[in-house]
Amino acid sequence: MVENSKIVYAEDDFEVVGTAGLDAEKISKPSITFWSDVWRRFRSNKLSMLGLIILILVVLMVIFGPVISGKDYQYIDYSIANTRPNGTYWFGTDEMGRDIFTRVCYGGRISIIIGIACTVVSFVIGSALGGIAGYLGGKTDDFIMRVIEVISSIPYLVLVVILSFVMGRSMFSLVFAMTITAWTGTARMVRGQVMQLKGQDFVSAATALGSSPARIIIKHLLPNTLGIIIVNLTLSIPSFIFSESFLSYIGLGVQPPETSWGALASLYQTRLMFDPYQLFFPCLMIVLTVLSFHLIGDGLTDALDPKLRK
Amino acid sequence: MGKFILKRFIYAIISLAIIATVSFFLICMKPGDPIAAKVQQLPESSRKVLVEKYGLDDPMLTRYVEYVKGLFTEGNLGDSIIYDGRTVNMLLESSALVSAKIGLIAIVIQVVIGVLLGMVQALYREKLGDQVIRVLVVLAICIPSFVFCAILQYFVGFKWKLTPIMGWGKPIHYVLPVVAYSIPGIATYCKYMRTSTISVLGEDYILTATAKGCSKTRLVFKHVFRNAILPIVTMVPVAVSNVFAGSMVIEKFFSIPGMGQHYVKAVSDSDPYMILGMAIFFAFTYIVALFFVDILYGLVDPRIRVAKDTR
Amino acid sequence: MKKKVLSLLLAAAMVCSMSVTAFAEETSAGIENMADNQELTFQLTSDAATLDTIQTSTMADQHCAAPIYEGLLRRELDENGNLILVPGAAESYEVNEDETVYTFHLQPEGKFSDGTPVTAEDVVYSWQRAFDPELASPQSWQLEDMVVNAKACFNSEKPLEELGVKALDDLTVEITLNSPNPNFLTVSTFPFARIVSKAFVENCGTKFGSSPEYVMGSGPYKLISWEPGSSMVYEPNENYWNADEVYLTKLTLQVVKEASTLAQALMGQEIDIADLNDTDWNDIVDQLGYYNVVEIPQMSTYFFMFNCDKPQLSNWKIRLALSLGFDRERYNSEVYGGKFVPAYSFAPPIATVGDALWTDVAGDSVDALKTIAEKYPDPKALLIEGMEEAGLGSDPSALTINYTTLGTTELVKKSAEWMKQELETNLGITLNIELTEWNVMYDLVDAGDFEMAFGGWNVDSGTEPLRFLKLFEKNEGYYGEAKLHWTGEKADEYSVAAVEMQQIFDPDRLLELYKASEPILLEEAPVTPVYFSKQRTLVSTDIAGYQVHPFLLPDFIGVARVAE
Repeated sequence: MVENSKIVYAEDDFEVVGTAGLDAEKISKPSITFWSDVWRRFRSNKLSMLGLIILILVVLMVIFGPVISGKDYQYIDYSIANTRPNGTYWFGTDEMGRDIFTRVCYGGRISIIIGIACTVVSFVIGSALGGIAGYLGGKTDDFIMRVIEVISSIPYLVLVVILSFVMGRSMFSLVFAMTITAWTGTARMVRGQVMQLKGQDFVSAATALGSSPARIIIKHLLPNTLGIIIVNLTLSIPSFIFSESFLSYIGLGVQPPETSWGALASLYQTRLMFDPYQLFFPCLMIVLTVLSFHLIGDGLTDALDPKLRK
Repeated sequence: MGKFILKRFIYAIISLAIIATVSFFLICMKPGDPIAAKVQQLPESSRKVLVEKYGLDDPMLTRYVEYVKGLFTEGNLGDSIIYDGRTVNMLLESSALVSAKIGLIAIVIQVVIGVLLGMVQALYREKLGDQVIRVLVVLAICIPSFVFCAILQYFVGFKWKLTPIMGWGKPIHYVLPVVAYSIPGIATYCKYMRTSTISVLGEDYILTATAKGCSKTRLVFKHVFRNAILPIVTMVPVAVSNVFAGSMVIEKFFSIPGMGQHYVKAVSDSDPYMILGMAIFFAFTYIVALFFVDILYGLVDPRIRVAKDTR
Repeated sequence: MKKKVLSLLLAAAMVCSMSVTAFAEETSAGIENMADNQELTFQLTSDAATLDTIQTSTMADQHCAAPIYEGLLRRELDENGNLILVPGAAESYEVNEDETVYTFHLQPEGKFSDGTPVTAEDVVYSWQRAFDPELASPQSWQLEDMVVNAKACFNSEKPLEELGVKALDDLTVEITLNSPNPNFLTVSTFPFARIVSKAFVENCGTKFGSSPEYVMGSGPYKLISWEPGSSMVYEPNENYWNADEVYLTKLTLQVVKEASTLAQALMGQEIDIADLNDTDWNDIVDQLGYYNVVEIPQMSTYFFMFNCDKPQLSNWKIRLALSLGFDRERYNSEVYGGKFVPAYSFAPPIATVGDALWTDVAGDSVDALKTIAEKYPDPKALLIEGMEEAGLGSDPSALTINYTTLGTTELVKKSAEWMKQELETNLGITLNIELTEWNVMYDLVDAGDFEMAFGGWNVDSGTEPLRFLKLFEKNEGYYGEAKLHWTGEKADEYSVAAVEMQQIFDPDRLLELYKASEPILLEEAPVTPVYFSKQRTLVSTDIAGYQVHPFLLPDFIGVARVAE
């Protein structure tokens, strides 16, 4: 019936089947991906799981604490000033008679956000630039290192004061101000590690196989430096939390009556010799948070770094 | 090597020039009137005489040129507007030196104790000692330094009378501030050392050495220590460059005439040439430190040769 | 003239009176039962930045310079605790009939600590330095309107030789004033007008005042060592003309900034004289009984300022409501632990009208703001009235005011948080706190870029209420129309009075002006007084002869340690 060799297709001859089936097929096939392997190994580390649980508890407390206590974090009442911890005021009250439990919970919101945001930004920028500088070397390295020199040396406090005038007082400008210089330490660390690693055989092999520099940095070099990067990041979390309160001295951090762990610590410092419990609780929360990050960090290091496997 | 040093020298000059210029204009933009910080309640006509004396009304560029001229002809890093007679050079000779003495002793203590503890942790990994030190490390970096200062001062100085509670001049005055300064650093080095030792312990050459029948002591000192200390060694120069800045909290607590308060004070007073001079000095120490870091990379790890990079 | 009174002031009920008790320990001959140890340590929160007389600007500078340099006259306290002038480098002076020409006769025995005599030429040189525009002293403006040609010299309009300070012979100096001024002798005792050696200063050049080898004066002590930021050690100047009354063998300044450190040093009796003002530590240290506590009100008033240019603050009823909307007593006791004195007018308890204390003669005017508060018992209603007049509706919660703080310390934060809650509760408005470094705050006030701000004014000579009231005069006042934008008929009326009070010396007319004009200021409320500050000094119980007064810089003459 075909008159000529031309085949004529009508639109109806085709139907769109989409890619749904393909996806379904892929998911149905259980394969141990990199990340599920990481999770498996992480889970098996009891201490790291403990860290994760502590972190979750801290976060829950920070979110729901004020609701549970039912008190106002900023209400001043001198008649109950400096009350020791008791059934009503679980963490006691401060010298203005404000409930410390509620204040600690409330302050944690800002501090945890700051801690995480600054860590993520330092990690991303620091490892990217540090990796590039260390791997490519030469002119690129020189340039990136000079940028680091300049950025770390410009009077930071002056820069922050000017930023607070230009950008106003917001969470974004705070994180921005805190991370301008924070990434440089991470970058230097990563660069050093990468320089040390790039002469190793697996990198030569990857180069020989034609991997692009980006792929080599991301797939081969960074995973091998993660141990040190994670240490660097976990160590810097407390300094982020404290420098936030320092920045409020130059008008950028949280503005009173809002508060943060860093601000609470510097306020309750004055009563250290008289009512040490006031300083104890914000510090305890910082310690718990940072401890959980350390434990999680150690677990992640083990889980992510092939060399560090037990 | 000579070429490398020359190259870094030229880079350092360029960096310093950029830092000085950018800082200068930033400082000029900063709000806050230095004359108001110097003397309040000043009538307008007298204010004018002071503004003229310090050239605060001159165009920024003129002031910058004047500053650079003074820097090169007299080596003058800057004079204070607020405190007549005070100069950056003077502060560097007195205060920065005091801070540096405390800081350098503290760094030695930090590295020695930190490295030892870190190695112990790694070698006895997941044992009780490791867990205890891990928690202590977290405490040391999370507890603000004024808490350590207050505790040390109260117990060691006031209660037990082992040291003076404050002051400066005698060797005994070093004890409390050095201890307070060392604590967070010990924790930092310890943490890095633990991670890096664990990492080294997993390397093939350790396995090889063990297989060859290398004794444990020899293994630890010859192979593990030498390789694991690499990240620490490269951190020290930057730490050394930071000691000149001092610590505001510790110095205030123990009444030590160090550098700590001066920088923050200069910024809050908007004392322009003081900020600038100190910034240039700190930049200089930092650049020198980074230079040594690169040299050290090559020395401690033969695989790294920054000096003659092939790329 | 040789009569010398050594007095130790004790903490008396200082608050609303000047009744500081003075103990006359001894007259003229010296102190009996002196202790063997005559070394004394005093504390400041900072050491001097410079010991060049004319450049001293901070309190620390002036305290550290006081024992080294002597002025023509000295100030000390008499038996009743009143400030009097006594001979210093000049053994006597004469004044002409119209009180414009002062002739000083120098001590024939007056010597600098290197043994060279103090000559009239040195005095002239010292005063010329104060008005040298090249040197630009930050303090000498206090004399520039008094001494002939001082202002012209300082503004480079006339050469220094034309300054009204002349040497008549080696031991005689003549100072000519523009017009009679009762404050002249007092101001001439200030550090910037003290005497330096011409030969020595010219030798030092720009280094004068920077370290012990570049410091020399004719005062009772000389500087032996100086560890910047930490300590200064003085020893007696054996060439001092009145060396008989210098008992201490060694005087040490110890810098201590941290209150807890200072408290522990005091508990260990390591320091003899200190300013401890931390409400928690005060009690602990006081209970030990090692120290006498001297509390003295200062000539210093702190106040809120409102920018009358801003729409929310343009109506006086709104400003007055803010002024009456918080409890000054509780503010002082809760936030500051009671370390200040609540203020209901601008004149501190120490202020005087003529020879009488302001608190004795002013009657109700001392608490002028309380009288106004009785007139407007409901600040919130007043606020709503004001809002309606200003076209801002009648809902207080719609009113938002930004509060620019004076500094960013923890104490400032606390006080701002307290004020926020107090005003929001009492008036129903919203107060936004903007933490601002203090010198940035002054910038913002200068630029009119603020709504509500906190400020203070400190007077270091003179006790007339006009020292504060003139600040708000619209043209010349420091916080005049240019900053606060207070305008209108009332502002004009107030300014006329404020101008007049600066031109007259008659106490009765002054009192009349104060009583008439201050209520205008308080009711219109471009500013509102909050508290007066006071000084709190601890003096070891075995120290005799140490005098405390807000205007007095201790030179440690006649101070000694007695055996207990």
